[in-house]
Amino acid sequence: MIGGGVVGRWLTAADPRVDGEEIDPRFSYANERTFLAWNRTALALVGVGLAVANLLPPFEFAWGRRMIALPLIALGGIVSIVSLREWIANERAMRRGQRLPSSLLPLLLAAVIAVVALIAAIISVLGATD
Amino acid sequence: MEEESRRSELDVPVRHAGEERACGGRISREESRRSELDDPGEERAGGGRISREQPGPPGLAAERTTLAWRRSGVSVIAVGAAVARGVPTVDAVPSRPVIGVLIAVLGGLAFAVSSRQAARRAAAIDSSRPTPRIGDLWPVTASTVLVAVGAVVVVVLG
Repeated sequence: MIGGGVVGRWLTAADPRVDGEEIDPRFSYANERTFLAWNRTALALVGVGLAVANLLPPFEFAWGRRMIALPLIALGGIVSIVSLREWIANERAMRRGQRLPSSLLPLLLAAVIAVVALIAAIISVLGATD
Repeated sequence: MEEESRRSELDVPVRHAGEERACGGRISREESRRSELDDPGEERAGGGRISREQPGPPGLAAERTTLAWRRSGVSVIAVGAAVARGVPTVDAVPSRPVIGVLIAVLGGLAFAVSSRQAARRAAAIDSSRPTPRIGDLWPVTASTVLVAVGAVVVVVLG
């Protein structure tokens, strides 16, 4: 998945239309909208990470704000990639008449946000400047 | 009548697991209401093509999806602009304007893709033409990851 040629080949192989039957477009649109909604969530995470880094007053720790901002931004990138994979998996399952696969994203989102909240709490208690 | 013919054009096999969960209940209610109202003789004349398994009228799924694309395009522009604002200016290199233009291009692309897709979707809902391929969606992930990488660079350098 890393590197130009590999990405290109992966994308070609990952096209869900290679097998199965054509489905009712509305189910496909719902899948597409879910993908887009996750990507807006991803962009919101990146935006919040930027806001934390640029708008908060600095903590006493040298990397205080970055310890909050960077996990959020990284999570944004990961959510975007995982949501594309899940769009493919859902589309494929529908075309093959299989059960929809379960989503990894809610757990991922909850876990990382919980960790970031913990980091923020520790930094706030130990390192507030005032 | 027009509704009826449009519905039979949407003659796609629906057999996947998501059906019941997604809108099976609503459609079957719609179908039973229809079979009460419609002339039963006419239904039989159609060779039994209109069954309870068949989807109801298209609804606004295509419009909802187009609007979701528009919202996503606006989100890319907004967060991209926030990234561009944080980019440090290197000597004599107008990096902020350059990146601002890049982001405008990205957002414009999102809108172009969404418009093209809107047209295709409008056609598909009437004639059950193929659903999107991966080439329609990966640019969204690519721009989000690009914005995220830009944000990491800005945060680490800033």
